[in-house]
Amino acid sequence: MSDEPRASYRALARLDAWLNRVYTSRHNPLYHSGAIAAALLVVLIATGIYLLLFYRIGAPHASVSRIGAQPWTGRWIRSLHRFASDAVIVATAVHAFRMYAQRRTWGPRALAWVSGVFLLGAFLACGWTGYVLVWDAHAQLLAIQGARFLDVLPIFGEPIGRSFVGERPVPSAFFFVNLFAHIALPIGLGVLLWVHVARVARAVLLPARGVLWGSLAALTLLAVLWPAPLLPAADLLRTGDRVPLDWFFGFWLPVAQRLPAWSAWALGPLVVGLCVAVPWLTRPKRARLPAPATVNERACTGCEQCVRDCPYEAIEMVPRADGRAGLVARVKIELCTSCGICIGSCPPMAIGPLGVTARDQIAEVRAFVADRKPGSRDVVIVGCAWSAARAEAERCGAAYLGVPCVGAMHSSTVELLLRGGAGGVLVVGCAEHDGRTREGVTWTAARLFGGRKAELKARVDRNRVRLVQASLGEGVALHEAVRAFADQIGALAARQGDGEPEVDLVALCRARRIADAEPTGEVA
Amino acid sequence: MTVPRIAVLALVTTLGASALGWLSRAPYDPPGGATGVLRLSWRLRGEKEEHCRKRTPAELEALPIHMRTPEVCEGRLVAYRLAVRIDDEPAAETLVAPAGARGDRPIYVLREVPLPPGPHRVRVRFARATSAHADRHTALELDTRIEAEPGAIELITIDPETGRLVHRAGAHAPASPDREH
Repeated sequence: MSDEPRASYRALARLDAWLNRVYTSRHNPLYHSGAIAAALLVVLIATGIYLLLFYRIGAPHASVSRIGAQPWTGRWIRSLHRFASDAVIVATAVHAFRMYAQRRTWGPRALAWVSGVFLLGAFLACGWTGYVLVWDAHAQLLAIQGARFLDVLPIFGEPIGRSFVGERPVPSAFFFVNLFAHIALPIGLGVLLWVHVARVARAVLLPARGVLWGSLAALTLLAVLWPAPLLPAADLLRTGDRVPLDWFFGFWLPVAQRLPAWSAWALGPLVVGLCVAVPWLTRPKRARLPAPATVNERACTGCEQCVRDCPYEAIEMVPRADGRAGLVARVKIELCTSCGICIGSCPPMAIGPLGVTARDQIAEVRAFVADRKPGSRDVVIVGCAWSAARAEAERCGAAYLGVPCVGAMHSSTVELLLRGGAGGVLVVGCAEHDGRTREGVTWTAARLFGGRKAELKARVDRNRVRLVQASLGEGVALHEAVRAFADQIGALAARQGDGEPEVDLVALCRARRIADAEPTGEVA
Repeated sequence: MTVPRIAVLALVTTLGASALGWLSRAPYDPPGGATGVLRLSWRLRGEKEEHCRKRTPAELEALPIHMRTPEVCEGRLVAYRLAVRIDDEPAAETLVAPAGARGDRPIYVLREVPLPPGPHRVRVRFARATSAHADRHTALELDTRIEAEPGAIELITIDPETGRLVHRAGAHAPASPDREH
């Protein structure tokens, strides 16, 4: 496999960068796609309960028509119910593509991927039952096609399709069963959602407030200004009329209607099987598998900070086996994603994936300082591969030290850089909600400025340390942050009587064109 | 946040929401819109073909006393052949077997045949398929003229009162369970 980023990753990075410019990384809906889908499920339940109050299985189309005729509430609530379900499909598709492009699909994350596939399937089925309940021309298409598929199975005495031939009215029992399924399936969705986030500590099921209310406002406005249409009641003795189709739930119809019914049972399992197999198809070869974290039991003090910080609940405390009293950390290999967050959580540097432990970082920083010899007016940018840090450092000619994730950076790295002569250290993380390593920026902020273990020692001047979030596409904001920080470091150096800087970072940055950051790497 | 940036944000959000709204109702032309459909659908309790024989005295002796019926019959529901001719051209011909794993359930016919717009002579025949005496049994037959329209479904079914095949045009058949209109 080449080290070049994949096309899917490059496409996602460009899209992220573009939307970061529009919404900022904090409110980029692409970063919140999974949480948006989960939050909209609550909207669907709330609006669904309202619709349930007025729906009648004996008069499905007439009752929905009456809901639409309610002057203040019914029409837009029904439309919001529909648009929210469409938005769930979009958010889920974006979320899945994001996980695929970032290769966050295999190993410990396979459970989340597979349960996600079934979540989507259950949600589509739930949507199918919901559309059929309306019993308009759109519902007729879905019902007849569904019956066509079911009738291939040799288990029904009377073909299901005979319910829709127009010989007699569709029995109310059909709508009762659909209504029951439409209400029961969300319970299954809840169970699947629980499995989906089972391996994640502190699962985020609500997006940032701005994203949540912004999404709700946009969908509500859409529902009020451009409500979902209610088509004429189903006419089982008409076929082939043009209908407004909900493509989010009916995307399969154009293909399915043109293929023999048995093909659904051949293609369906194939598609589902391929989706379920993604974790195993995308798993790197053994030689390229990132090393899971390991614990140096002699150095571990049993403080349990790594257990608290691990975003995947992959670390547990067990009794020591070396005769000493107390507990020692142990990594559950099957749950470890090699994110490295534990590196920064351990004061004695006793835990981390082999090859990128805190001790390796210290050695790297020593070499970096010896090579670059940063001066008292120099700002060293320490940035993760997913942030705009590298591009900004190259643009401004600032010294750059790359880390896999700022959450995997031990605070001693910052102290060592300052002791090595650097005037300031600017730590640049990616968007918190991008979630490649989850919680990296949060823990880093707490470690650098909040006293969380492994904390930056009190002797370090906090005026010389700054943490910013700047994802791809946020080069302009980062540029401003770099300028401001360089000004501050310059002022500190001037107060301490240092001479002029060898390179005027601020002037250099101003002179260069601020270009957009490009993706710099990908997840191993 | 600057005014131009807010404008861009609002524009992108509006475009996204509009795309969602449009894809939620984008027009779709199902196949078969330009033609009509002849739909054949009925349920029939098929005739049974039985073979009876007398039990031998030895067989009767082996049975419990309350089960000693002198005659034993084994039978099965027979299959039917459905033949459709439109304008004297064969449009469909198929064997319809009784439903159920053991073939002991009623026969369900559900078949659709494209029907180009315009007047047609439609002849349907539904008769026992396998019997040496098929000509002795009455077949269900219909010979009718149908004016087909694009998108309309012409239903051929069995009238429950007369037991005969009948043609029901779209306007005569109830399709929606709505009882409140």
